Amino acid sequence: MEQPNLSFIKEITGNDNQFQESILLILKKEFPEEKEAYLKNISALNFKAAADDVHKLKHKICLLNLSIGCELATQYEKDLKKENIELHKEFVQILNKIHVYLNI
Amino acid sequence: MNYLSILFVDDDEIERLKFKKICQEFNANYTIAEAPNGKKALEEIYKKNISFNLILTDLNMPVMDGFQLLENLTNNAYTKDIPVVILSSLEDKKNIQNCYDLGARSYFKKSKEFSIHKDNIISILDYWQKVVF
Repeated sequence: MEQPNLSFIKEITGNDNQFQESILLILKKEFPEEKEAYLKNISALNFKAAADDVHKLKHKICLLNLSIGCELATQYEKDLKKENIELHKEFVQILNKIHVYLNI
Repeated sequence: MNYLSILFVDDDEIERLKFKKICQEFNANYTIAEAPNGKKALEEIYKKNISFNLILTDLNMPVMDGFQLLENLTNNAYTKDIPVVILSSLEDKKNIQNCYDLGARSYFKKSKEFSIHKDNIISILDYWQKVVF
């Protein structure tokens, strides 16, 4: 099973450690907020808002080089717009994996 | 020396950082302002009275999305001639056509490959630098 890693972020930032640190700081700040917002909206069956949350989280999943997770999030965002929550469980598993990785 | 004055609109702070980094590496003559949504973009344009000669915008944003921003810019005499380029992960034909109908000059799909994303940004900047000046 794929694991989050920094290789894509390193590709973006090159040898610029300060830039890399800036990206990680944003990830650590925004990820838990966006995860919480998603869980709140999906519990309330607020599909449109949940799809917007998945859209934001998708960027972070892709940044952490989770390519399968990124594809799943892309599909799930589309599904949510049709009120289909079949991928919820798998999506939350990805979020939990990132939560642990970022050590939040 | 002519400076391209760019307004970059995206709700994702990391996207905004990436854009600034690419511009910095490209080492050309730009001034960059940024906004996290369409409403803030309009504030940058009107309240600060800055004459932008290129706007790059995402579509899926809170408060005011890229479609609403485009519509607002196109319907206003002060802003209708500012070229707007769309950078979005949306790829369905209906959304793309909608952007062109609303006055977008071009549409780029955000690539997950950073090198392609970077090349796209550089092409946009290079092209508009030549067109504007």
